[in-house]
Amino acid sequence: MQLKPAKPGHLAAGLSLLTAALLASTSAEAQDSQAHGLMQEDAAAPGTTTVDSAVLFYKESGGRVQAIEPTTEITINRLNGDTLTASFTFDSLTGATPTGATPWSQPQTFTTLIPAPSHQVASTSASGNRTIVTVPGTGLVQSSYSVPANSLPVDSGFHDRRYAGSLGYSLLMDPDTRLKFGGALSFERDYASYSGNVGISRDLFNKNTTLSLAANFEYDQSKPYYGTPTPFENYAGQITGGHDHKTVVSLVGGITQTVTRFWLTQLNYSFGSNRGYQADPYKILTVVDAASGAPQSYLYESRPRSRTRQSVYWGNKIQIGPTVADVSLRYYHDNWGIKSITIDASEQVPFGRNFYVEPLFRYYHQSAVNFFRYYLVSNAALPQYASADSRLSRFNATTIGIKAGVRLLPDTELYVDVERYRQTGAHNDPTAPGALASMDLFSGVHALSAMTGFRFKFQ
Amino acid sequence: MMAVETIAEDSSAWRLPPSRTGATSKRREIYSYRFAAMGSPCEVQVDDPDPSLGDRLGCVAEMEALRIEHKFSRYRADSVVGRINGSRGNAIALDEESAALLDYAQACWEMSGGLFDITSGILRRAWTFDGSDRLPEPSLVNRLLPHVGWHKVRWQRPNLVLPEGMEIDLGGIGKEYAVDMAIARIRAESDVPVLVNFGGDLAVTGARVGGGRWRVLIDAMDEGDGKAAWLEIVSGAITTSGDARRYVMRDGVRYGHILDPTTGYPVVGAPRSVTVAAPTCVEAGIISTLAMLRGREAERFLKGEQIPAWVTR
Amino acid sequence: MIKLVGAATCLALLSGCVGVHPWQRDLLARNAMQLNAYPRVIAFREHIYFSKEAASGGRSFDGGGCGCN
Repeated sequence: MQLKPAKPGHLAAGLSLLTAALLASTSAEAQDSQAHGLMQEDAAAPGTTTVDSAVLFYKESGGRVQAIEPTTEITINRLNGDTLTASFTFDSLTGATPTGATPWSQPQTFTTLIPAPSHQVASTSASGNRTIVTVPGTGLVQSSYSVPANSLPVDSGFHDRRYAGSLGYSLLMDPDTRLKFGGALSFERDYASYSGNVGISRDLFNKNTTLSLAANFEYDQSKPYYGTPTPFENYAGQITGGHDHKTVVSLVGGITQTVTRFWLTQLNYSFGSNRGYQADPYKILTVVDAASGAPQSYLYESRPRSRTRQSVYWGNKIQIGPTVADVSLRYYHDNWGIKSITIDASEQVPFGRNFYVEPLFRYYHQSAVNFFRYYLVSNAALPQYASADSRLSRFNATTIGIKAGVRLLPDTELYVDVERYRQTGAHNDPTAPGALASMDLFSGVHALSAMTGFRFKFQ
Repeated sequence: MMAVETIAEDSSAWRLPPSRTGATSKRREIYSYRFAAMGSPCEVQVDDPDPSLGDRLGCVAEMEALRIEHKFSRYRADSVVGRINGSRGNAIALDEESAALLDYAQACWEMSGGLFDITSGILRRAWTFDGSDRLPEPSLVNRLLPHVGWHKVRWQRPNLVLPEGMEIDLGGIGKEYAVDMAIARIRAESDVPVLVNFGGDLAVTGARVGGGRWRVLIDAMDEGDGKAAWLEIVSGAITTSGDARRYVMRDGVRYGHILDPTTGYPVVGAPRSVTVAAPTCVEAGIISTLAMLRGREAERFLKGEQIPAWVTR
Repeated sequence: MIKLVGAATCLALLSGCVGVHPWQRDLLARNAMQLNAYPRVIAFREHIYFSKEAASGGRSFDGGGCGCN
């Protein structure tokens, strides 16, 4: 322990926080229960540091994306009420993702032109299914891969690593006012993101109500190895574009209210505006024959360069007997045509003093963006925007899972969480031409995720 | 420290304006329950004429005061503090409540730059504050100083290792903590407004019935001086640190009984008394002690913290 | 959206009628009752949903900061 004298004028505020923590922890309830159960432990008080280290294992079925993501976060609660938070995350992804092309009753070959590889270029093929053919006199090569008949085209063998970190500081200006600011960085082979945020919150009515407002500014750079395709550029040709970028500005305003001794509620309104390159540089659409549905060519997708988003979120924490229920609702709407609703519910149930189990359930529904297309039709006029990315299509998703935590030592907890996520949506488009009308165009995700983490507190 | 005489005006820097006559409190009977605990006269005032309610709530406060006294008294070998002080350098495992108090004392030690130190109690062995002119031998103080200092204590919750020769004393926050705990227990029993006063450290559960204010007399000066002040409160707590009866007078210099743990001597230029109002009794107690320890800077410290306080010199 | 903002304003005005005294915050001080009790778990879930769904944000900031969408 070290002497950390309070700044002049700030001692009373820090003392107030400490005393509240002391009297809460020695309260009649705490004493009557002799020792705190794991679920009765208090949130970190001033003067404590919390370290939380966890890892996520994520696997989609059907040979699709797999990821491992370890992360660590350190939160230092200073005696004067300020908080410093720092986190670091590493993310390793492998596997296949749908390209957006439609399946066909014959095998398909996807060929593109790329600069001739020098000894520095890493092979993009993990499964060896890419063939390279030199085009003489051009310094270019043809890179091709094939997909079998009657299967959804996926691009396999990509491997990406991401490094991300964030830092945030929250200042207690006076006992009822907090000022926060922070920043985050994220780097992967073909993408970089830089962001900064500021926020302010104010307590009213004996801290029963908290009003908060925050703004986030983000600058993202998209730098795919072979360049950024222009909208509807032909997949067979060489990409001529370079890097591209987008900027994101968002605002969140919220009210947090203590309703009763057992119920805390929060209502947030968020607004966001994205400007710039927002397409997925690897996603394509098939141009199919108007009569038979056979693939004729492939074009890169095209998305608008501006997007405005709004959402309303309502979250609750309710103590019901010895258990704590977490129920939230979110309604989201943007000018690309997405309307979505999310319902989340979980209940944390203690068993004995040192263990809890928390089943959880989530339901999600979204409409499609107004430019979603399973395919394009040849000889028809190109629309202004089009994307076959399943993330922009209409679907429902449910998550069921269970989390459990055990207290091994005082102020430490080991937790595990397993969740199953399933997207469901339309499997075929009966209006599709020819044989395509009966083919399964669904590319939604079925995934299993498992997280485990360890957190501990010290003074 | 509750006087019942009529008062004259107090000349401290911050003065609460006298209330308008009869403006706030109704002529309502307050039930008064008195007992003795922690070496002080204690009183529980209940804003309801029903004697059985008054006795019940008074009893709750008395039980809590006695519980805390027995658990943390340094005079009892079987109390938590007694066991710690008799541990001869061995580790002692503490229960949740004691651990929480030690965490708190440690945080206050850190925040106050070492001025608030629960290991400073042994310095009293050098001093006898009986109004005489006896100052201790400097060598006596110097022999005690190496056994003072929280940084010498190994506190790793829930285990405490107190080096042999050191002592801890929770007297600096024990009474105030007992007031806050008694208030909490009374609130769990009844919504009737109550004032709890343990030897001058007092707190209220809330405003009196109908929104009226509790009136409290602060007797802060030497006996017979006749000077005191009214305070009226509707919430929170009030404590007073002072040397009205405990001091040493030598060569015209008055040495108050609050000792600076870094020197072993009373603080130079300490005010005669500091009365502080705060949301809880523990906070008020720590702030008033820290103000006294600032000596001549007491008023500046209190003003900087924007705490309602009254200082007399 | 306007109706929801109106509802939020009514909620704020009601604050005078609901709420707890400072000494009744014991349960609300517990870790289990914090809205962001397990920040790493929340961060994992937000990352997964951000990369697999079109909607994002709500609790705090929108935007993902990764190339996964």
